[in-house]
Amino acid sequence: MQAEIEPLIRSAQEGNLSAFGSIYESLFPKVYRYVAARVGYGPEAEDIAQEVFLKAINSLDKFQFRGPPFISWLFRIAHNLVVDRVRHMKSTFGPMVPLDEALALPDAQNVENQALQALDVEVLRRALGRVSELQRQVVLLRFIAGLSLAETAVAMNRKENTIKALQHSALAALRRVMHPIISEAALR
Amino acid sequence: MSEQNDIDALNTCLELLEKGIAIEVCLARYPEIATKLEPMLRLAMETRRLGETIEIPTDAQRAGIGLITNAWAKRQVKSGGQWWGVFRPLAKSWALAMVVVMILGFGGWTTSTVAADSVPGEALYPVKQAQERFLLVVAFSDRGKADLHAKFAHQRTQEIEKLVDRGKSQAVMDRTAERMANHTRRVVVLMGGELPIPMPVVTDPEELGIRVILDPVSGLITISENKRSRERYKMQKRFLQQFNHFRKMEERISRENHSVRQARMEKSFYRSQEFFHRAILAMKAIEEAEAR
Repeated sequence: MQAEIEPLIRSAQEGNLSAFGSIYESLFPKVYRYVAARVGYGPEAEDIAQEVFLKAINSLDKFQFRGPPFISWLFRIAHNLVVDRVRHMKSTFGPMVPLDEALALPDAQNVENQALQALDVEVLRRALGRVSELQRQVVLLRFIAGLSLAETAVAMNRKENTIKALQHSALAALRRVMHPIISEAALR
Repeated sequence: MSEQNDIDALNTCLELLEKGIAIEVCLARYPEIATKLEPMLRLAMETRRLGETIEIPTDAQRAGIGLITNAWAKRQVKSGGQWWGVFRPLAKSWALAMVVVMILGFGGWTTSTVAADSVPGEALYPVKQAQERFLLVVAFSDRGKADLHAKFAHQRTQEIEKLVDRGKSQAVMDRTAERMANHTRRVVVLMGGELPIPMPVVTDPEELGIRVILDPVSGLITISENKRSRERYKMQKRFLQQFNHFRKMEERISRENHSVRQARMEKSFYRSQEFFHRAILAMKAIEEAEAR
């Protein structure tokens, strides 16, 4: 990814707007999906996604190729904006429910399949609201935004081994919390 | 297997899935933990699939282009303002240019005259840029700044022609065309227009305040002076001046015998002309908005 956009970044740093426009065109979908999966669809997510790029413009001169990859740098901006916004609208996720390790794992295969079939963005968002901040971030960066392990590690300022462990614990935690959410939704 | 092994196995499988390898193949590599791995991998795949189903709001994305273009114009203006900070070591060329400008202030107007004829890549070009920035700083009203930007856009067009004559590289010509486009964008912003400027679509030239005729085959435009529009737009004179220059360049391109040079001229010329045409239409949009 970095190699593909590096010439565009260099050109944008030299003042070429159309180069930055190309970066925006190619990365807006990833950023928007990351934001929407955290704060939900709608104008809020759109505003934040746009703001990420506006912030990037203001800091573009500070971006250095020796530092983190551009995409990781961009998602750090996105993460900070989302965290700020969520802080101001705590109700978005509802109260943070600590992961209850005692929650039963769905043991039967058909229950697991049902859960996967019922998984939609809203269920995922609610489930993400019940895992830890780091687990949530790793799921969003790895599976929603599609960053590589290395890019995720830089975006989260952690070592790759830590991210490996986090993605493992995050998927395990999601499995635990998703089942009750889906059952709850089915009862409504 | 230890937990660390589970973690590594999961990551390896995720990387294989990303490469399009079937989940069964991944699981076959770790038969002893396949039952633990499978639900996690399926959940990861489903989460990824869900991510891809999140619809991108194309309207918001398009609106974002406008915001970005405006922010970019402000950034350029802001970085333009940084030449005041010549004492910062980062603006070496601007520092040099500033020194020359100061010398001009003490009577070195000859340098100024010579610099006016310089093109990008030449030693005196930073002097010319510094002069332009200075004029933009001292122009207080938006209209005044817009007028200057229109004038500078025209000068960039003239420079492209000179660059061809002086055998400069295509990259230098492209940068000059980009500068021309930036000046044009700023004209639009300062005149209260909205960016991005739409692609030119002329259905009925008579409806335009300025008579614009677009040849759909060549993509070339012709503009004739219109008294009403001349009264309405202070920019009109500048635009007409630029249009005349475009026409002159067009004739030159058609007369050019050297095919490589002709191709280079055409590339930069049409790029500049496209932005110019967009600016004309943006002015039309401003007029319509004001009329409402």
